[in-house]
Amino acid sequence: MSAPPDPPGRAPRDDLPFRRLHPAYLLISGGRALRSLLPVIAVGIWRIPGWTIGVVAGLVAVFAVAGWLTKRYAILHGVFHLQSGVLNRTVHTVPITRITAVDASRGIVQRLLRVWGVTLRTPAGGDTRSLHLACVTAAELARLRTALAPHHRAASAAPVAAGPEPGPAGPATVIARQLGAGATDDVGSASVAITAPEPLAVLDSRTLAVATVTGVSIPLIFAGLSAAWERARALLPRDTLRRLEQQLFGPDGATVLILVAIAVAAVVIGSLLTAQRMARFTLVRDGDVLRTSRGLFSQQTATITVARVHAVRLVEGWLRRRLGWCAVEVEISGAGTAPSGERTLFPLLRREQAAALVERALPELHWVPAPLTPVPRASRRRFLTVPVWIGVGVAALGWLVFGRPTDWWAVLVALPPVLGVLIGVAQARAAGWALDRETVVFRGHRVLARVTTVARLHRVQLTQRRQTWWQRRAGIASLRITLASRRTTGIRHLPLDEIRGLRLRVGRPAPR
Amino acid sequence: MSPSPPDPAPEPLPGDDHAARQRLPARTRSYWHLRGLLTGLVATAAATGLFGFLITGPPAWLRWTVIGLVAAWTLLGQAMIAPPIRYRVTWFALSERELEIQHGWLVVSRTVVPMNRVQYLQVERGPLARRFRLANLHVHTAGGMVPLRGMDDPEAERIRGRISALAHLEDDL
Repeated sequence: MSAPPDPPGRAPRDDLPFRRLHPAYLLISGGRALRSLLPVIAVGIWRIPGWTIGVVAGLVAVFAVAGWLTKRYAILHGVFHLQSGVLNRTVHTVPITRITAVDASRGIVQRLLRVWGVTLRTPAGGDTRSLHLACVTAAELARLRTALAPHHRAASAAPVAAGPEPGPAGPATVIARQLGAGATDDVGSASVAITAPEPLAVLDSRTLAVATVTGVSIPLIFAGLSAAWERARALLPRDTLRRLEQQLFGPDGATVLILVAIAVAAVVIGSLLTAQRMARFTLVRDGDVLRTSRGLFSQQTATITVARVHAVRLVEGWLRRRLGWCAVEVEISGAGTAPSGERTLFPLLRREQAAALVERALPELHWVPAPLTPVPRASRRRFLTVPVWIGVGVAALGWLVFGRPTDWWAVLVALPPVLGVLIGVAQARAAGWALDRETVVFRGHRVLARVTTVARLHRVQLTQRRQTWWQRRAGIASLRITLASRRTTGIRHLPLDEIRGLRLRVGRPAPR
Repeated sequence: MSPSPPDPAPEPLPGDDHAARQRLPARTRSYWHLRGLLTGLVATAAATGLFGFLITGPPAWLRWTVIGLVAAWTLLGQAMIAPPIRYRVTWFALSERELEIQHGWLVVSRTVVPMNRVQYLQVERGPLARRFRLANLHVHTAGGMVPLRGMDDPEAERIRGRISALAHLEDDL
């Protein structure tokens, strides 16, 4: 399939003509195909004749070459085209105005080959892999970003240089420390003229340590390792297990030492994972887009179109809230199901710095932090109903499954309803709302984390008043709003007049 | 910073005018009764087969309690109690700029859909609904789908066309 010709009279510098991915795609694609075949190879390598391995390798190579030859992309007249498919030819055509974010990432192999993987997101979501370019050079990535930049779409008078991935080569500095312009990484060293915008915030080493300690990785890994050890104890013969424990931990105090070893392993693995996810996290505002970069061994960058940001969330985990820390996430059209890491604007900062960061990163939000209106005192006891009933249900289920509680089991059975009460009280205390000319703010409490959502008033997709029979008797209702990311937020148990006031303003079309 | 002008009074919601609220045809109630009954019978039969014969580990009283709960929820709750409540509660109101829908029975929801948020519309008719000359209208937005179930079939088509015109969807078709 040939590329459509440029119309006469239009400067072709806005466009990228059809082109193939970097030839490193052959290696990466072939490697991925072999990786997916690893289980088959591992099982069958002793039983299958040697020539079949050669045939498989040949097929992988042929498909990699055919995939490279057929996969081509272009940006022509404001439309992104992607052709792919060896047997089934597929052509994706997406107006670049519909592209909400450009994510770039590279693992260790891609770093060695000095290429990047690029994913283009659209509000349709879900099928993001189909708009994935596995292998582009740093210079090509910069060209893509320039061609896809919103300000470039609007006015193509002069070529605007794309900013580099912010600061992966720079030193870790304190949050909001202003770095000098012109910092470059290997994207910056490419042949494209680049002026680096100043980072808004960089995650420093101390904050990374706090993120590690207060994150969920370490407790989850500890629980997983403990469960694996218990499983191994059940499966291994008793003599083997005793010998293993004595060899590893000595004859005395094996249980305590095992727990200590598991805890140390959890801390080490958790720290590595957190560092891999968050190290050198940098946030940059570059014209009409926000760019983030992160990662220790493999690097990930994301480009978020500011106009596509419909809301901001401040997430305070249970422990982080007590220590005064929070994370900032953004709600983007079509990215509701993306992992939270891809929605992160900044992974950890002091609670009192959050509003200032949002103001600098997204001044278009026009968020004026103000005290929230709490839920009336008379309604607060209603927050207990759902978590307590769930707790009672879990306790009843435990009683049915494990039998009548005796000894210390009795304490465990009583635990879910008590937790339900604590969660209900926390939810009642956290619930609040605020409304101004441009934004609506809802604060709520999940199981453990407190979440404050700041949404653009006129970008809300759906507004829903919900009322149960008991709420109707009490003259109260709940309000739920749905954002373009398909995620919801809202507030429960408000008086009807407050609900009506919110419904008259939130999500309504702009006045004529 | 100069003081900002006062906010204009917000427009009322479409459903604030009770005369603008449109209700479903009376035969929708019979349709919901029959559909609930058929669904309940299938669900109860499946639960009986599963917990009566296939899963025999838990004690008999627990298995028959589960079967009883499934039968009570589907045959009593969904087929007998819910239809008159849902029929009484459900209405929709259409203005030039918004669609407001009230629906539900245990939890009554009132949803506002601005016309400029409508992505596409879908009319769905099952075999049973066709017998009753009814249709379900689904209004899709970027945030999710809002259902309007049990509409008179020609009315559903008319409303679909009107929303389509108000949301300027026809331009893109």
